[in-house]
Amino acid sequence: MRIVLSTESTGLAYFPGLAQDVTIDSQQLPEDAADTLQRLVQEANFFEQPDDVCGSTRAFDIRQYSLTIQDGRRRHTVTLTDQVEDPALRALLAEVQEVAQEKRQTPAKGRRGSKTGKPQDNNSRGSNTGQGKPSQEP
Amino acid sequence: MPVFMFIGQAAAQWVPVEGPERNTMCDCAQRHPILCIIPPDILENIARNGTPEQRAEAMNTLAVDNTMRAMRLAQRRRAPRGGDRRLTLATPTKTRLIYDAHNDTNLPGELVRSEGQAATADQTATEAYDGLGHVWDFYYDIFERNSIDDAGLTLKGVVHFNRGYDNAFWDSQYMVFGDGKLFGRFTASLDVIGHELTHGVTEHEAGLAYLMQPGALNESMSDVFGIMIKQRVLNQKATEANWIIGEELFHGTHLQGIGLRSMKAPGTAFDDPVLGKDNQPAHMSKYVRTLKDNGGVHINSGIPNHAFYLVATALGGYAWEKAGRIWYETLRDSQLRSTAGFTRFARRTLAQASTLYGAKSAELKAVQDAWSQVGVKV
Repeated sequence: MRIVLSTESTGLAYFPGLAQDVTIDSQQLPEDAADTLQRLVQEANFFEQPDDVCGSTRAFDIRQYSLTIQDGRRRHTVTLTDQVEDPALRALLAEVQEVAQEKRQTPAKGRRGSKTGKPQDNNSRGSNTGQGKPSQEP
Repeated sequence: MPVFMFIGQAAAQWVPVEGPERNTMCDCAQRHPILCIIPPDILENIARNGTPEQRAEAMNTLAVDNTMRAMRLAQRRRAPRGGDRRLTLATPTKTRLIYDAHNDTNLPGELVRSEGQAATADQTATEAYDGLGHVWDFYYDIFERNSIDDAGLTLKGVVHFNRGYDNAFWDSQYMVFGDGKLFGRFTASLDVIGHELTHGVTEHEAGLAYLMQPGALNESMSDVFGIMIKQRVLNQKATEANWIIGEELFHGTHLQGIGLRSMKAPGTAFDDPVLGKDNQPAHMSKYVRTLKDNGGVHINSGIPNHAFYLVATALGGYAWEKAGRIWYETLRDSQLRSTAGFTRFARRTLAQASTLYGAKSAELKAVQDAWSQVGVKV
């Protein structure tokens, strides 16, 4: 199973380090951690969730995520915020965030829990930002 | 409700559109028809392993997909401009309610303090109560504004949201505080409280769209009024203040930085292994084009933030006396549209400065000079 956590908005401020996409390959996690993720994905009925579960509330400075999971031939992306109401989906997001945070804080080489010990790519998409003179009106 | 349409991925520009296109903004009509149906992880593979042309196209499409989702959030209904405002002969009084979410994410949680009740033993609840009070007092004492909506809205705060939550937000009904894990507790920062509640003020006034330049202006308004609320409590004049947003969040942590943002020197607030480096620009020549962060609303706000700092320090005295008055009247200006970019906003600040202080005033010149210094041509 492969999980990509993309943080679209890092909240009250923009933190480039926290905005980097994190890819989690369950084959590179300890067995119990991989089992936990697999169970949470099933309990959340992730592949049956709608594309957008952000709800109807208009919020400012809230964190927004895109969570993409591929498991075998199934693949699905859900956009959500920290205010997600579904407790099972909330538990899945919390676990993914926990693993992602650990990956961010651990140097690429010799990450704890990696079965292969291979360095992992924390930023497969890049930040897609650039500087330059823009139009002054949107 | 304004609608934006993406024209030209390389140019990364959004323009307001009218007419029949309004209903097509969230579908694939404006995008590459094949890349629209390719799943994100396949696109990522292309972005990593494809030819340079394929990689560029895949990267753009991935970013646009994410931004389309952000667009849907940005387009949700907002409160009508001044629609709830009503005339009343009663003296405005502040009303606060503080809830405890008990580390859950269901709002609002348990009511732990109402207006006039004694403080509890929870320091976080006390800080939230006091902070909401300082915000109400500032808007009423300085601008005679009756709460966030200028119609006596009860201010509601929620503390202990989620577990170790490193954020605070305004959801149009509640100001929500995390306890922090990387950061300190979010109730400790008065300018952050002012920042969040000012999102409510903006929502009820200009209603600046939370996207691209209007979104950066929305963010800047929150920083401008948030920092003035803190400066008033500290009795600091413009030239005495440090103009750092959220400095208390970094106290007692291992983070390498002095705050979330610097209005005095945008782009210098933090440089940390986990957070990354502050990338706020202070000038239009450094404007950051991005599809993250709702089009860089927390990034490019550095430009109007710095303009306000320049006006306030040029005029001297307390920031809310002149610079703050000009910005507040601009926010209430009926000619400031929700889709305004930096140039249109800057022009309205000039108009308000001229109306308030005269066409040959030092105040008007200070505003002109500030926008010139940050590279916004008016």
